[in-house]
Amino acid sequence: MVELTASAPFDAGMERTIGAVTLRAAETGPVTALMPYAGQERALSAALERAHGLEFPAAGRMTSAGQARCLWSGLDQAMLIGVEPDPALADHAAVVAQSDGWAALTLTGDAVADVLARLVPVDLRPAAFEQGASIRSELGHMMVILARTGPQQVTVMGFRSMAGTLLHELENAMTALAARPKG
Amino acid sequence: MLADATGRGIAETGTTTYRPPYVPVPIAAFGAGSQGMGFAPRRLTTSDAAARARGAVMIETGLWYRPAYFPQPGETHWRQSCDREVAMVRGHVGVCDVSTLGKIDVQGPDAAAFLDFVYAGTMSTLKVGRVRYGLMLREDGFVMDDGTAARLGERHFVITTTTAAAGQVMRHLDWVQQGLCPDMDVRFVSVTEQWAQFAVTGPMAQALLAGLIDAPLDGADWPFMACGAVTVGGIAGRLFRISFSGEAGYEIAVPARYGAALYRELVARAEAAGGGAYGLEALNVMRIEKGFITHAEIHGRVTAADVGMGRMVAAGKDCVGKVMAARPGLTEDRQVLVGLRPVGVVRQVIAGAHLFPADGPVSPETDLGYITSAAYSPTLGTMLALGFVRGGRERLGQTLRMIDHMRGIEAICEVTDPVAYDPDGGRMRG
Amino acid sequence: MRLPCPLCGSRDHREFTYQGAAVMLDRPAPDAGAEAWDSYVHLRDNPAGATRELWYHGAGCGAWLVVARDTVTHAVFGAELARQVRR
Repeated sequence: MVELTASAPFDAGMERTIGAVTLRAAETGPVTALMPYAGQERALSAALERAHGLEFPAAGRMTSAGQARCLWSGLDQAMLIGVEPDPALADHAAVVAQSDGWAALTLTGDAVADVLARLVPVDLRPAAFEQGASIRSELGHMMVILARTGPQQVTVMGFRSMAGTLLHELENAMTALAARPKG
Repeated sequence: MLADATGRGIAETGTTTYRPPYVPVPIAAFGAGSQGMGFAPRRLTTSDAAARARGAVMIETGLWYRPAYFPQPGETHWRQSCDREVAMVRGHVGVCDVSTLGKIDVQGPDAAAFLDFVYAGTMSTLKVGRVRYGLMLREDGFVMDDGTAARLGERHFVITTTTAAAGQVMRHLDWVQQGLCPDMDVRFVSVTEQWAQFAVTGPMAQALLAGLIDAPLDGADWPFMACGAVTVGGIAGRLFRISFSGEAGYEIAVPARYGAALYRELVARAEAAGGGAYGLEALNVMRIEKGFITHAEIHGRVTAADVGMGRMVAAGKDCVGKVMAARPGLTEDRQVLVGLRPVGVVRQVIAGAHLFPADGPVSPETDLGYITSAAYSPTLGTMLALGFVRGGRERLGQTLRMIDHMRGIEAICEVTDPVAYDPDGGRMRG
Repeated sequence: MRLPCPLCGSRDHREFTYQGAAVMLDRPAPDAGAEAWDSYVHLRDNPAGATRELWYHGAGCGAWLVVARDTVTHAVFGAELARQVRR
């Protein structure tokens, strides 16, 4: 029987620190798109709570419980991350595997919002983009999901095929920011 | 200068209106890093590294990079590689990464009804485990895109789009669902990135895949246009028996993390069977030999009937574009899809060239049509073309005068059926 | 220009694509006749002033929106989900 080895979008343990910002490859675990059917959002949320301990997020928000997180990712859509979806969810929603489609990174440091300000046309400073926020926007010319996962940390998810460009754009922005004269 | 021209003094003429920038700024600063490879995102398939390691010459399709051909030692011109790859696929087996085509997962109680509305054809009658080719029309009646719909379950379809139109189709589906059919209970999401998908095609394709997937691969279990779940080394994948080359063919999909490994495995096994990897040049030659259309033909100003697929617009149901496709301006006196091949001294047909009657004046008034795709067919030993000609179906066997006004090349062509190779499709259907 | 997406909040216009006048929501019945269909597909008013337009939040939530704005002053009055307008 053939054996297929798995490849990740970034090298395991990939990490870059430029200036005061550190970029790391993020291991998401399973990623599943959940899209509740007509009138089923509340039932889906109840099923999510029973199975995984968290509710279906409101627009622009993230819910979490233990290893599981649910990031709002669009109209009638959220991504369940970190756990395989319970079969009962399919009674209320389209449940579609996305574990292989995304490249995820975390950006950590004081100047994270300043780095992203060069690439994303949304105010991502902590006051405007608080803990538990999850939005969809563009980074450069790429569609991304952005979530604030810490006071000084933002998680970025982009398409797997554009992982290289995602890394390149962020490194350029971090370098440019670090090159600015201090004070 | 203006002072001189108007005969006034400099002080009286004044200055132009001040507009920023007020000091010189290098153009590169406006570019903000968008130079070279930074100009646009690069989309790379899971087989990209392996293809480049094999010396593939890459070509851009939108933001994607795909192999055009794989030059072998001794090959110095792309035609040598392309001709070899075509013969390799038709004689043995070829492997091509087709992950870039849009793939959309469509589910819900109204999934079938929704697809009946966005496709010209009927998808609700598609049986579970079967695939159907489909055209999507624009509301003005012209063809927007073509692809396939695969039914994986009663309420579960996976549809494909062309690489270039994937984003446009997704936007269109969102429009139809939210703007026109908000009461339809259907949900969809792109899975283009989720699945790595490879075409495995040629007389040896079934044997190659039979040795790779975990369950037996019997032609009877997988008739032409069948689809379903398979496992490869215990990994859950999908198999589709479809062909764009015209040979017995399959497409095998695995979650993208296994794409690189599966590609290496497929190519190694193909090479062991006298075949190997092929690129877009060979893929294009083979589909032209089969008369299969691409966006070169469905360029936004052709209807389903123009490409010989009028019967694919189902009579008994409404769909986007149904009404306008039937308007007199789009049904009478049209330029329709034909094949062309050179029969005179000049053995060339050229995409973009126009077609005129064999005798008589050459003018916009006598212009009968144009060529959309052309390639040298190593299989048939001649150049072949597809194009659109007024009254084309009534002109089979006639000769026309092809003129490429830009390059100054003329040739005499015969009008043929678009399908030049294996017209009955026996090699595909098995 | 910024558009007020009901789901995402105020966003820069680069996240959106413009489709055209909101009359596109009023698709005629198949048997409405040639004039109704020609008008639906090809004919549009071009107001200098208040207009209702369809915009797609493609780089955001994927929602189709009906945006009320003024083509002379460029003021944006508001936006609602297209699917709610239909209902």
